[in-house]
Amino acid sequence: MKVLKIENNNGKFLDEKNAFHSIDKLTKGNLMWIVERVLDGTAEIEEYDESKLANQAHQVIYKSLYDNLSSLGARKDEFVDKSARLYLEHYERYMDDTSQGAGEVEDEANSTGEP
Amino acid sequence: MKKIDLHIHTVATVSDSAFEFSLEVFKNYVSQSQIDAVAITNHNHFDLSQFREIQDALSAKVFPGIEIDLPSGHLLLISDDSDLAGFEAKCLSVSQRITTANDSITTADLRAIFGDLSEYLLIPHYEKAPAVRGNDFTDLEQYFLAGEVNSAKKFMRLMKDSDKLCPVLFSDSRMKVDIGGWPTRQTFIDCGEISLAAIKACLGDKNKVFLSREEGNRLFQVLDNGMHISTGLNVLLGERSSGKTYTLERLHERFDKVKYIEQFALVQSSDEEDEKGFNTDVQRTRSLFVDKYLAGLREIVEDVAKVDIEKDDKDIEKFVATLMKAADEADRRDSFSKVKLFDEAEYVIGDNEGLEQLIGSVIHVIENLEFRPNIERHVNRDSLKALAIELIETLWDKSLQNQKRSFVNRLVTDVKELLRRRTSATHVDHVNLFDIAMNKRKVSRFREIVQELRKEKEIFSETVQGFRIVATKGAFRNATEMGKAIKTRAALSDAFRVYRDPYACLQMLKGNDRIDEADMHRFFVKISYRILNKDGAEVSGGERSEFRLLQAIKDSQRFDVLLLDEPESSFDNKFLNSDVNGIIRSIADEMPVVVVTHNNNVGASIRPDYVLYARKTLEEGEVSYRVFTGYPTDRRLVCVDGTDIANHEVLLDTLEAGVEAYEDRRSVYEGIKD
Repeated sequence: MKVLKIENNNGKFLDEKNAFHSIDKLTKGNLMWIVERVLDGTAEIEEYDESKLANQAHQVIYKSLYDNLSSLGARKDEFVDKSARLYLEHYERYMDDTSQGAGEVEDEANSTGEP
Repeated sequence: MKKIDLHIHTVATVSDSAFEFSLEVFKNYVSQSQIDAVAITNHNHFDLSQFREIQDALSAKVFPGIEIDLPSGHLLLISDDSDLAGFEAKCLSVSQRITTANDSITTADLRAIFGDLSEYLLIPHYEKAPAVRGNDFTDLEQYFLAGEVNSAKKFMRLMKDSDKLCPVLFSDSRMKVDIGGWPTRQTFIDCGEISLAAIKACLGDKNKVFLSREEGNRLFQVLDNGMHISTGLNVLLGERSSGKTYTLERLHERFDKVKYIEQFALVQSSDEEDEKGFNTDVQRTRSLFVDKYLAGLREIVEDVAKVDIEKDDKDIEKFVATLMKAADEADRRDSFSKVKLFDEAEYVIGDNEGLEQLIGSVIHVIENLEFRPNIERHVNRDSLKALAIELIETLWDKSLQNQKRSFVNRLVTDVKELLRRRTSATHVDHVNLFDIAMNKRKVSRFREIVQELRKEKEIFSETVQGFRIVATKGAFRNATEMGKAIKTRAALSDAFRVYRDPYACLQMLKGNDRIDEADMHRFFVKISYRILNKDGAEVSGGERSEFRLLQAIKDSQRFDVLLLDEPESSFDNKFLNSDVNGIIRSIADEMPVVVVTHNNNVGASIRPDYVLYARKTLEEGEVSYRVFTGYPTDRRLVCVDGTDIANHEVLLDTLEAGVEAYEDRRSVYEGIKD
C-alpha cells in the first residue's frame, strides 16, 4: 500500500485508518505507524519529484521523509533478521521451562535407609 | 596378636618441620602402648647409628625403613635387619637424589637402587595424602600387600572391599620431646614370632589384620590411656557435668576430620530466627541455581536498560516539529539555509553483526571434521568456500562503505554546523528511525518475556532425605518482597507501583542510586523456595530443625568420625525414634559415630554397638574423669584403670532418671494399659 504519495501537486501520507492527509499535518504518531509499515514490508513510497510538488513546504517535508524512509526500507531485511533473533535463545528457554531440575531428582531418603 | 606401628619418624628432614628426637619418649611410647614392633621410616633418609641406638634401647622389634617421595606420593619401604650397612648405602642413594621438599625419585630409580623389591615390605600411602597413584601405583602394585590409611573409618571401608589392599593404620608420629599424648593409631596382626616375613604373611590375609587386640575390628583405640570405642555406633551416657562434653572434646582432638554437631546447634532461639536461618541455609545452597536460571534475563535487562523509549519519542517529535517548521519557512530561506547540505540527513551506519555471524557459521560448516561426510553429501565444499569468500568480500565492502559514510557524516555535520551559525532558518533534527524501531521491538519482547516469567510455575525440584525442595517462579506481591530478592535497603515502592509494566519498572530501578546495575534483573521475577514434607505440605518449625539435622548428618559422610551432642535437645521423641535413629544407625555402618544422650529414645532404642559412661569423681581434692565402656549386653562397664560399674544401673540412671523413677513410671503405664 502507498503510504506516501504526490497527488494534485500535494504531498500526502496514509494514516492507520487508511485515510490520506496533507503531508504538513504529519504527527510523530503517524510517522511511527509509517515506519512500522516500511519495516513490515507493506509500505510503498512514491518517489520524490520536486517538479510535481508546487508547495515549497511540501517539497521540504516530502524530500526529508522520502530520504529517511527509503534508507530505512533498504535495511528492512536487516531489521527483520535482527529483531527475529532478539533474545531468542532466552525467550525460547523461558517460554518452555518445564521444571528443569525435576528430571534429575534423586530420592536420597532411600539411600540413608529407614529405621 | 601383635601390635605394630611401622611408620615412625626420628629425624627431622627437609620434609618435616623441626623437632627434637627423644629416645626416652620413644621408649615410653612403645612400653606404655604395648607395641610389639616398630619401623623407623624417616623421609628419604636412614641413620644407621641412630637406628642401632634405638634398637638397643627398645623392648620391641625395630625394623629399618625409609619413607620415599615418589612423584605421586609417599611410599614406606621396610627391610629386615640382616644387612644394615647395605640398607644404609641404598638409602644414601635416595637421600642424594632427594635434597629438597620438591624432589622425588621414579619407580625405575627405586628398582635400580633397591634391586629385588620383593625382599622388602612396601606400603604406599593409600587412603592418605599424598597417596601413591597412577603409574607409580601400577608399576609397584605387585609388591603391595597393604596400603596405609589415616582413620578407622577408612580402615573399615577397605576391610569390607575385596578389591582393595589390606589397610594398615600407623601413627606417622615424630618421637619428639614435646609429643603431647601417645599416638593411638596402630595395627594388630595375628602372628606369633615377629619377623618381616611373618608380618608380610599376615598383611597378605585381611583376616589376620585388626584394629584392636581382643575385639577384632569391632573396637579401636581412641585415647592414649587405652580407651577404645566401637567402629560403629557408640552412645556416650552420663549425668549432667559428668565429663561427657570433656570426653567428646578429647575425641575431637584425636581425629583429623571430625564432624561435630554440637548440642542445640540445629535449633534457634525463636521461630522467626529458625525460619530465617533455615531459609538462608536453603537459599545459599540453591543460589547457584537461581543465578543460572536468571542469567538470560540478566543479559536482556542489561541491554534493555540502555534503551530510552522516552528519549526516542522526543527525538521523533523534535524531528517532525523541526521538519514542519523548516517547511513553513521554506519560502523565506536565505542563501545559507538554501544550501542543499543544510537539510541533509546523515548516513545511517549499520552494524555488520549479522553478516559476521553468517560468515562464522559458513566457516564452521566448511571446517567441521566430524560431520564432513554428511555435509559433503548435501553441499559442495567448493561452493561453500565460494560463498564464504563472497560474504567476506561483502563484509569488506560494507566495512569500507561504513568508513566512507562516517567520513562523509563528519564532513556534513561540520558544514551544517557552519551554515546554522549564519542563518536563523530552522534546522531539522534528524533521527535514526532504524534504531528507534529496534528499541521498540526490544522493549516489547522484554515485556513479553517478563510477563511469561511472572506466571507462577515450578522450575526446580529436588528431594533431600524425604523433604522436597521446590523452587517456584512468580510475581512479587509487594515492594518488601522485591527488596528481599537481594536484601537491599533501597526504597522500592516507586518501582513496585509500576511493576505491572516491566519496562517502566526498569526505568524506576535505573533511577535508584542504591541499586547496582548487576542486580536489577532480580527485581522482575520472584524465585521462592518451599520445603515440603513427606505429605507435600509446608514444613513446620520442628520439621525445619529436622531437615537441618538430616542435612548436617548427610554432610558428615565426608568426615572420619561423627560426634553428635544430645540430638534430643532439638527434636521430639517421635522424630528421634522414626528418623534420626535410623539415619544415625546407617551412618554408623560406614563410620564411627559417638552420640551423647540422656534420652532413652536415643540411648536405648537406637541399639548402640557400644556404651560409654562418663563419670566425674573428686579424689583427694582432684577432679578426675572416668569413662566406663562395654557392649550393651555386658553386665559391667569397665574403665581402663580396671574399675567397673553395673551397666543396668548406668542405663536406668542416665536414661530413665533412676531405678525408682523408672519403676514408678512403669507402674503408671501398667495401670493405664487397656
